[in-house]
Amino acid sequence: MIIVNLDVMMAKRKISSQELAEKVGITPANLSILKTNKGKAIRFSTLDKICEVLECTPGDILDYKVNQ
Amino acid sequence: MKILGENGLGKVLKLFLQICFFGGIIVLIILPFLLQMVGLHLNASAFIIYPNGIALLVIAYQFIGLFDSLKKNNPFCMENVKRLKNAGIASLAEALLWGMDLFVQTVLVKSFEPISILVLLFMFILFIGVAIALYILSELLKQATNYKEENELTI
Repeated sequence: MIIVNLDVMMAKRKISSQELAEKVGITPANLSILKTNKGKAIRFSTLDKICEVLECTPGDILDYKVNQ
Repeated sequence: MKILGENGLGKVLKLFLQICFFGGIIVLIILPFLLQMVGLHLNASAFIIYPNGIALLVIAYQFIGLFDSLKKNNPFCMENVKRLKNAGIASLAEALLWGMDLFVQTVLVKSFEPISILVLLFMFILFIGVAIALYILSELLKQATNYKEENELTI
């Protein structure tokens, strides 16, 4: 399964959820869905914007774990 | 006329079904007294009339909930899938009751009135069709609900 490690990257960049949501152009509620791994999919445009704001690559945010 | 929303067609249909639902309950309760007033008695026919009436009330109740969700602008939800499935099961029960009635009339009572047999056969086939249609619709709604959920959770 795909794990979203957004909070780790956000802590490294010292950026709040509110600020990131504003800069990426999504609602804080949607960012929370993403952070808590409740999302079903992420658009390339959203991923692109997140990577741009956090100055990282998709691999820094997304991780893969084998299903138990 | 609006279909969804507060003053849409769903509200009118819900009201109509509510009248049918509560009217049906009242009729089922006072039926023995009504028949007594006209000099008739509920004997063996009670075994057909009451289960049929209850199955129809179940169908009406499920559709009240369904049209209520149209009023609330939220038709694609798992509750509606369950409602359609329940209505389908009630329709199947209704079909079986009509089938049983047909069996009793032709095999046990050996009455071969063509109109009566045709009506019973028609009702049996009709409710089988309704049950299948409702089951297919519930599966369609389930898929639509899943698509909607996936779309909502795509960020």
